[in-house]
Amino acid sequence: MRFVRLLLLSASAFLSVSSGQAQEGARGLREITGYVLERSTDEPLVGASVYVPATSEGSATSAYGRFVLTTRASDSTRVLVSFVGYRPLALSVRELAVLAPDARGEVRVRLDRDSLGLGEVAVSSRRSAALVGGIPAIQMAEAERLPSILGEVDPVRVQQLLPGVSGGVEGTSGLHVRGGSPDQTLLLLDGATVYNASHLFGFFSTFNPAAVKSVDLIRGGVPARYGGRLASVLDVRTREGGGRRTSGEASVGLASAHARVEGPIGAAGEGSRTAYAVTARATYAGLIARAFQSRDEWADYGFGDANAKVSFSPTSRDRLYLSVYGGRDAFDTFTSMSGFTERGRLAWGNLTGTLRWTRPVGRAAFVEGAVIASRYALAVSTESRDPALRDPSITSYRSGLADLGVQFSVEAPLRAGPARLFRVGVEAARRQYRLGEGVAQGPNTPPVETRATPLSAWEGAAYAEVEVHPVPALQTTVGVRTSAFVSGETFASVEPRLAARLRAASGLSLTASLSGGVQYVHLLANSGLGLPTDLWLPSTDRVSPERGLSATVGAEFSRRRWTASAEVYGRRMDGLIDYRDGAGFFNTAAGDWESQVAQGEGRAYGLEALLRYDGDRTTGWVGYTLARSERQFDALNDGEWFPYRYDRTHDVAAVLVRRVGRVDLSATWVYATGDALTLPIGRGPAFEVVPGGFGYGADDPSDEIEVYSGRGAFRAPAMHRLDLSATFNRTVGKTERALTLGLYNAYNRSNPLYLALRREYEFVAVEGGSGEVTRVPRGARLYKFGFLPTLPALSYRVRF
Amino acid sequence: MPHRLPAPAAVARRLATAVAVVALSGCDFQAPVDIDLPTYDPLLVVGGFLEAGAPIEVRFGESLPAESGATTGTPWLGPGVLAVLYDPIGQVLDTLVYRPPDPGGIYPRYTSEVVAEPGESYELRATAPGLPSVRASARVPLPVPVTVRSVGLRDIAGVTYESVEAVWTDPEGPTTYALSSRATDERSVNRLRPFVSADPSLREGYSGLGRPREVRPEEGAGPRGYSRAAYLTDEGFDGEVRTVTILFDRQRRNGIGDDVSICLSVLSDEMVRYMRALEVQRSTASDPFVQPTEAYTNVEGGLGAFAGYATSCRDLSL
Repeated sequence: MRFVRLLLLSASAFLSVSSGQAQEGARGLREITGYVLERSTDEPLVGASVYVPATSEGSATSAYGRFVLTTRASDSTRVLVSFVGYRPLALSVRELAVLAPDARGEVRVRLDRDSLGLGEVAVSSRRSAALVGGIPAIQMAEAERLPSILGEVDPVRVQQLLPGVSGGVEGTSGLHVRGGSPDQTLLLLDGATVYNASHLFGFFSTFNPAAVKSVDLIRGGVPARYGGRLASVLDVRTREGGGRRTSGEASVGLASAHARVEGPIGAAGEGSRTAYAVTARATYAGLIARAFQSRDEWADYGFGDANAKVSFSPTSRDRLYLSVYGGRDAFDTFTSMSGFTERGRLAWGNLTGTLRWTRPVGRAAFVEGAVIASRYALAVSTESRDPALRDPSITSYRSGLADLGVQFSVEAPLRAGPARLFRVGVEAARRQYRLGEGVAQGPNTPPVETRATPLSAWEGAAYAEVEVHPVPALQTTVGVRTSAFVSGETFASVEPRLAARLRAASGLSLTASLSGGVQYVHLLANSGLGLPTDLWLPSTDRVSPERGLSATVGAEFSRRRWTASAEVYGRRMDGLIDYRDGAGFFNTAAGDWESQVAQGEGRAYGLEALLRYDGDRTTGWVGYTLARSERQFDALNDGEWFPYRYDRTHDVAAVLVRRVGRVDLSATWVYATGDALTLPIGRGPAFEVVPGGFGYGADDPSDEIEVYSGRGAFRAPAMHRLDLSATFNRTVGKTERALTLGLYNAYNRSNPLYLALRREYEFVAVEGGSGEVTRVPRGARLYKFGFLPTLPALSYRVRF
Repeated sequence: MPHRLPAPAAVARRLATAVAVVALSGCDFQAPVDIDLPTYDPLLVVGGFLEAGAPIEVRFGESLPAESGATTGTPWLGPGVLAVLYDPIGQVLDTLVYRPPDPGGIYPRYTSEVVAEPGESYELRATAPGLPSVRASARVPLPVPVTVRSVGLRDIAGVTYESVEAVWTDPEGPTTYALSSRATDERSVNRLRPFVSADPSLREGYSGLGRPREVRPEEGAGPRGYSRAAYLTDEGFDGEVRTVTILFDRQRRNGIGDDVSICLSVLSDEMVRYMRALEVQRSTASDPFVQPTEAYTNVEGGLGAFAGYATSCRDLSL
């Protein structure tokens, strides 16, 4: 509490300095604060750019659509306001400063939706949206025009089209950013951590596209306000609801349907203080599949989720947001044979909630506080019945974790030398880990329980970051984050954060960043599929936190409609965890997870390049990544370095979107080096004895030991795929309709899910004419097992 | 104003169903793939498990490239292996003698009249035509005497168990044990006699060593079953007297009688590591998503294990 009090006092001192300043400073600097909103709904736009080309000064809007533009430009200088999927707005500094100001003088800039390309005007302005790592995330307006699996737009998976971001198993939504594993990306939904962001075993993310307002993917130079993960941050914000009228959308596709309604509560119109947005989604793929399965053997799958957000202003300055998300998946199986039945259920779900309070203070400062909760739970159960027995055999397993945390931050402009903006904040969270509880009970036998002792931990952090402009062309953000984690053992860390962008010449920018990170939670993953059985584990006295240091250097050049960029990155990681050889979920679930994991280090480095074109009717890019990601564990692979399973030496994504009349045509082609695999190269007899005076076991020629290559010594065949999509748009009055047809994996490439050596046999007649046949081995062959062939996509959306 | 689908709902539903069926039906396809596996040179595989007090016997086999069509059980080695037993200072103890496979067996046995003495070390050197020569060392652990006594009947969830205590004094230093039981009555001699136990120090083992699992004391509420042997280390009772209670189900004996021999085996570290790796390979063989386990070997130039163990048994009538 003392720390918080000190923080508030410090903040107040800064605020008093800030608010005491005149709008126009002694050195000709002026601050313009305000919001960028969607015109039709007054929805704040996150990550919109407010940019002054003449002076290279700019600002990106915050999670509340708020910007603070500090500029030395004259009144008549042109300012560009833009956001992907919206028509950019050009106006003078004077016009901007008085555009629909509220009582505090904060302006309102409203942009119109525009499904066409960005065009030349916006190309240069969007560059300022991200201080470093100049390739912004793909926003929903852009994602909706791109091909998708079964017509379901996924705000997470679509980011895999960016350089440096790759998927693991084909089709899944996990993000492997710059050689990091999926757990090293912090997934935030309105500020709440989402621990398992997968529906349908990872093929859809938990983020309902209809609910998502903005996606921010920070791949390098992570600001100090984010922490807890080594690689990157995916910050997803949901819609708040309109300020003027009720609006919404509904969509049906091959796999699921969703709907959203949003609008003001109470008196609608300008200045409405209360707004809501409710979104729901459900799949019916399982129901359809059930219709084609037998009564004696079937599998059913269902998932659904819902987002709800309410915001209101109890005073003219204060605003409260309550955001809730709930999602659940259930996979049921049933088998019946000769009276024997077996039922199984695998169910998991996330629940998050965020209560946030914001308040502008003084002329341009902004205070924010939040209470955040997040919960993830998994349950597995089976029930077998033998008609001869009264009682069934039952097994069940549960695991999960729950977070409850608070956050507080202050952001304000600065006039101390070259400093322009500072931001400080504190966070604290209590995390509770339910690491696995299992019960097995047979007929007439007592239940056998296994239970890993639940753990709880405290995690706290404080951070400070300052935006400094030593010269107008050089923008830097300097920050530091300190954190601590207490789970029996206490861990602490100080993480430096530095990001810089130098506008070296017309259209040319140079960027650099340095980012330290610590991750106190680990994901013990079986496969990289994003399975719900992946287990989140805390750092303990036997398992240390993951620590990392990342650096990037890049250059970006834009001219007219073209942008070219290249960035080199490198990262060292320590404290990584992996299953020991042969360990797996069902051992860990049995209780002692700490003995099942090994810890080691990692390194990742690479070059990313992007060439992008933003035309009026045509948009597209080609991204290429040349990368290496390796691991070293003393307990694995004889201590030698080995490639990370999803190490992608080459990763290419080509995207083309073309508007023809009212139709958006799009194509994406992706190519990635195959997974690094461990394969058997030899085999031999498995001799053993049974202790206790039994001597050698019976000879069994099929019982063999296998001799493996070094870990990751082989490469699976490369993954490549072409996806196509056509969206027919029609606007009638205020209603937008879109029918999307598409093909996933258009040329039916069999991309391997995994490889396995399969023994091949031949049946030959036994000599002597008895008619009997015997099985003769004829060798073994490596097979690849594909998963996603050509899949159609179909969806119909109405937006009103 | 309500918004309607462009086509009648029934048509749309039929279309969606048809497309979904096509989509779902294609969600599994496989094809051979050509990846150049490196040349694998076959090795001599040793199965040498030295039981304290018993004559030394070793089995030999040959490893093959993974893609080979032959079975490793083919007894092509025949009498072609030259296997010599040495003492720790390099003096020849014996040359092992070839014996044909047991009736119904496939692997040749090489036996010696040398008895594995508790506490002694032995070295094996072997060669076979076309294969690299191998050498391996093993130390036979000292047996730990065990006493057993019946302590009466217990009812658990309607099942009656005979409760038996096994007691022994653990020697100083880390030790891994296998606790097993076999029938000794005439009808079912030498058959495994399953038992259950709630003792938290017993480690899980379904068919062999299993993967080790630390069981915290408060979790020992219910018994778990052992069909072959229960494995345990002396972590937590090093150098102390240890009593383990095991339970025999009196109602479901599967034809096995009530005369049993309860055995406590001390396993050498090499044997534990070999059998554990073997068990893990078996249990994860069908899971393509689990990182494979390399087979453990202490045989230089070859595969398999040359390792010692010592068993102490006590008979009991339930």
